[in-house]
Amino acid sequence: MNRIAFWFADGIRLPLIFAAGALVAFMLPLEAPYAIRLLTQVAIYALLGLGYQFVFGLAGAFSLAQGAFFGVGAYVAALAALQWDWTGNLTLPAAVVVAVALATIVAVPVLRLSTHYFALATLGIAQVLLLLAIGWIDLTGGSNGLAGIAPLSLLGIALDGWGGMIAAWLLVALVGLALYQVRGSLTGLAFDVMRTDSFAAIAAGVPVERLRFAAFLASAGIAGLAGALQVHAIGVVSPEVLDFDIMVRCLVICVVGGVARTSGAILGAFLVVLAPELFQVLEGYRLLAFGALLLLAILFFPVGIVGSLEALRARWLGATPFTQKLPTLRAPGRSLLATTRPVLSLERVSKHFGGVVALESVTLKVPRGEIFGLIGPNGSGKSTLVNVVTGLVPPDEGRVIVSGEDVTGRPASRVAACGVARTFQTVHLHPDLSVLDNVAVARIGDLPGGLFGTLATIGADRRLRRARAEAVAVLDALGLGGDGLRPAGSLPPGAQRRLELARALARNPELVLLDEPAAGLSEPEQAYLAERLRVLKTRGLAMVIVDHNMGFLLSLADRIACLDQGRLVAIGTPDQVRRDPAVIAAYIGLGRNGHAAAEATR
Amino acid sequence: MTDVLQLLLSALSLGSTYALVALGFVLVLNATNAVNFAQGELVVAGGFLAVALSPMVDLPGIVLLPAVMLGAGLIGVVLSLVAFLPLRRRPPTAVFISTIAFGIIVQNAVLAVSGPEPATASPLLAAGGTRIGDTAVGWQSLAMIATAAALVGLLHLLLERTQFGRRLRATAQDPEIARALGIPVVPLILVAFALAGALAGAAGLLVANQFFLSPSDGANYMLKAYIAVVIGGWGRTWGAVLGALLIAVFESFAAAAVGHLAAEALLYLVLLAVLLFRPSGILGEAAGRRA
Amino acid sequence: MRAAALLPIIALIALPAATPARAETSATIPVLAPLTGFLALEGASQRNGALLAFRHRPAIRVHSETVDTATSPEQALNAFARVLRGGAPTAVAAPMLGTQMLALLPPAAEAGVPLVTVSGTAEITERGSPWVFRFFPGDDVVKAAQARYVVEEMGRRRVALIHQTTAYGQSGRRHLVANFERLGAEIVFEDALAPTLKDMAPVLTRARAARPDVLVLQLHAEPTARLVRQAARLRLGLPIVAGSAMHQPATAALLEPAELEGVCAESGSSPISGGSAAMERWVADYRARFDTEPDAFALAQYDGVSMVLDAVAAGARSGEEVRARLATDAYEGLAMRYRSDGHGNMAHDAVILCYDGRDRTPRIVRRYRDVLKNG
Repeated sequence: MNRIAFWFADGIRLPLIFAAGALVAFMLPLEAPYAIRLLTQVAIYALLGLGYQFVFGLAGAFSLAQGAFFGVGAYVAALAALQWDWTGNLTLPAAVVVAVALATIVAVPVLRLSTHYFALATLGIAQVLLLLAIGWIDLTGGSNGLAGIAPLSLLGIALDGWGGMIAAWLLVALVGLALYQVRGSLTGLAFDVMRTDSFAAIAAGVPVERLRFAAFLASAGIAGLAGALQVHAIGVVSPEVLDFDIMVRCLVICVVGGVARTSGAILGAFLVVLAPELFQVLEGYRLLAFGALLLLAILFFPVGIVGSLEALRARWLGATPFTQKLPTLRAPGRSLLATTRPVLSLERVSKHFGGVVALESVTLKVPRGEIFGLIGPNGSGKSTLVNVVTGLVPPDEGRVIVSGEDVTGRPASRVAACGVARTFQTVHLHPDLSVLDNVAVARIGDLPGGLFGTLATIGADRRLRRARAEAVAVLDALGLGGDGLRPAGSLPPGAQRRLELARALARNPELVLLDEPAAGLSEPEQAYLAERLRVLKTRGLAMVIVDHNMGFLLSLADRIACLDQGRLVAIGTPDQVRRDPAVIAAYIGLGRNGHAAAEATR
Repeated sequence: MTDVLQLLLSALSLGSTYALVALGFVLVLNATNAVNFAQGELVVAGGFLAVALSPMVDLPGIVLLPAVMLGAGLIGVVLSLVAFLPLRRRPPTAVFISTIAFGIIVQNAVLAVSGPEPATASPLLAAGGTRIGDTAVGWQSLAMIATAAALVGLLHLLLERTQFGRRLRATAQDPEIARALGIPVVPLILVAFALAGALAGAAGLLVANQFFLSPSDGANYMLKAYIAVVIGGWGRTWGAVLGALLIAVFESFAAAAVGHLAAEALLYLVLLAVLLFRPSGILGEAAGRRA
Repeated sequence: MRAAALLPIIALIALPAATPARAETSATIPVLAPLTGFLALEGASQRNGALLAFRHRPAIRVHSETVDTATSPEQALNAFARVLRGGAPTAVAAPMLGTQMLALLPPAAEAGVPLVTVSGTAEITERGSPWVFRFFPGDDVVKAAQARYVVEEMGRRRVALIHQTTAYGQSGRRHLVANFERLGAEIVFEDALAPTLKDMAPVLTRARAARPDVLVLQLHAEPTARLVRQAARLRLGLPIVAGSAMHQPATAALLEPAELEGVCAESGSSPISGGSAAMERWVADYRARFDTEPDAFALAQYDGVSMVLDAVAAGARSGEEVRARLATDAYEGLAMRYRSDGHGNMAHDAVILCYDGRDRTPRIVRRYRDVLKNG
């Protein structure tokens, strides 16, 4: 009980104080009906904004369909209330269900699009729905809409005025808590990473597609709920609920309030509802004033009101101390030597980019416990090979088999689930997150309990606590234990490379692909890294290491293969490869072409 | 056949103004990687500027073009000074909001200054027209297409033949490298916004005679420009022009076949289908561009 | 006005315009109108008409504030709640947007406030609310007049009907279709246009292909002008009988007089067409005060508010007393004689006006009195 109270006071303190303070400050100077009307509106928009925080705030997807789901919820609730005479306690769930169902259908084609193509596709869906509402007069009443929808009622008691307002705010509190819970969980960490750097998310094995899908559905459902509330609050529905203006307000709420924040959505809703009302005294000039206020708000709070307040707090009081205790736990990782089946096998894999051959019929096998070196001049296809294996680019021909499973053409997150981890040639870390959390997020694939588990948990996420504890063990193993609480961006380059390795290892993989792990490391750092890798090898981990640095690889690798213009020209022990005339020829070729040209094709 | 020519002429004259709007949008995008949601309102501002400059005097609209472009270009500069430059190193979402806010200000300033009445401006060269067969060919339609084509041509020279153009293209291809090469960024940004404003202003002048203007028109131009830029390939300058013309022609012919409401729905459905099969627009995305 | 305590600066601007001091009776009549968005033109007419009515009754001290309702029902409700904060007003000049009016009916009934509007949407007086009073002839009236003029006076039988996708367009279309059917005219072509649509060539070429003998429009002001201009450019050679938007001086101002030749429109009245000395005085007064041309919406709102002020002058104080008078009294307004039909429809006359191609002032060619009774 004490824990619950503590958690309640700690976590949602800020949003609660804001909400209660603003509520009181606003209620006092105004007559009740006007205040109730506006505060109900604020609650509805806060709910809409909270929903948008999932897809836009957490998942970072620029959806322009949030307003449309709001409208769908409104129409569903209106139709249910008018045509079938359902009462309020059924119209709300109906609106949510239909909005989520619609989101599920459109998600299939739309969610795989990136950035602005995704935005335009969602905008297209919103426009089609608007046209349907206008054109399908028999169902929707056309532009005149439908009127006479009764206020919410619960168990026969009409919830208008005070009752409706309180009901709406209760829903805001509920959804706000859910958002808060998700944000503070391991899943929230995963969202944070995938929003900041998609490569980092892939490297950490974050199930990007699944999280995006879940966020999209959650947003749609909450928008539908807000739309249903809106219809009961104003008693009519017309195509204006599908207007793009609603979508713009939604964006304003989240961005000016604070992206991904519960308190941000509530503050933002106060802004978009109350500011135009306060400016009513300016009559026709009120939107001019509102535009100016909006511009000032974003200039003064470019990362949102909540974000800027937190930055101020950090500047005056110092960063919030990280209170997590760092328990030591068993290192993740089990002995993988039980089977002798090759971990990785490539069969005649080819990849072309336009007319350029990146890989040409490459066949190779990597058994357990082997360190497999991959060399070749710049542009010879080494990084492409790593990308093909990890699912970042699909091969044109051939098969990729990981631990006996054919993963050819699967998206990166699904390949990752088969026990494949990697690092990048250029570092992809979340610079603002702690070193510890950059690794902890990689535990997401192995720890049980998903979004629902997170929501059902009262208090701090146990999954996150466990992930951090396990991350500590990995960091210790790579000599980063002392830096766990620093922001990852503040580490020196060599340590960042080791951190990337730590993140890969935290996933407990069977196969790790390291893209130039020794680049930029000093001699002692290289030696330390090599020693760590040998330890991992004894556990049965298979490693593919791409590097220019022959010295580093020759002393470390069991076998080495050399690629030249996409072809495998040599494969064998380090000694064999070093003397192979094809390898020597490939490297002399490099001397002629120089570095710059090859750099471009990586 | 008559109808086809008639529709094409009308669609291209409107589409050429969409093209100017989309072109301005893409220039800003390439110079700054920022999405300028105020672009549509700049059309309205430019159009009403033209209206304000040509009261009663029987000057042909083309004479006003430089003044309108200059004025709208200045608004573009103001836009970049108050809504983009202060937020340059901030999350891109901040610029969404600042440009939306600027758009709201422009729209309502127009409403406040010029009143709620819709407006029209004098034709570019002359009213009236001629007939080719049964097709009515308005001088204004031809002048709109020719003016837009000339502006696009001038812009092409600017981008291909001048140092500014080379720098802009370098920045568009790889902002990091451009910065490393020491290309002065702020002047480039100011010029890009000025050009975006000037082009939008020109579009406002072009539409004002035949298609009229009203203070709440901006959102529609913005929408068209956004679609044009996405289907033409995010960041592709000439793709945006092509996209704009495609949209106008598609809308016109679809409406002539199935009616306007269905045509509008069809536009979005086709758009969704295109994105389904070509997830990076019809022409594909410009290299190195991923906002 | 206590909200202004939060923002003292704004409060200065906010203070209602002072009314002449030598006043005994007083009334509270807020003006709710769409001052921003795509109906800003009509909203401004509503506001101007109401303000002019206040000014012409210096004997009554009117407390008023003007509140923008933009274009959504939600904002209309916010505005209504706002004007209730100092107690129930005597009456409210209510927005002309049909969906907003439908949303306002229940709270107006609850607060006991008569709504005085010029909204044409038929449905607002069909929902049994005793609190709504419409001073512009409804769609059932003006659309009957429009259809009758087309069929009876012009002798046209093949109608191309082009309407807007908005509430105004869809409501008008419903009545036009019913009236043409009753009159035995055939609708050979029909299409719905979004108000933002710029290119009219597709709809015009399609309409032409259906070989109509008249174009009947139900479009807002700017689209009406756009269609008339592009039809003139295409030399369609068809007479155009437009909806009331064509009578608005702002619409005609967009066009050359030559393009207007042969264009007719329905309306409740046409102030700038004159007709009586009182009307001309009113028009001059309006121009002087607002520096713009008055339209029938402004005049209807003026007449409506004037009738409310009449009731106040006659002793009505509360909303209920004003409602009772509006529901039973007849009022001789500038545009016409108003009397409720029992549902709150006050205006029953319509006019048809036509442009002769020489200037932008329409002439009234036909007056339909009590359209529904004499149909």
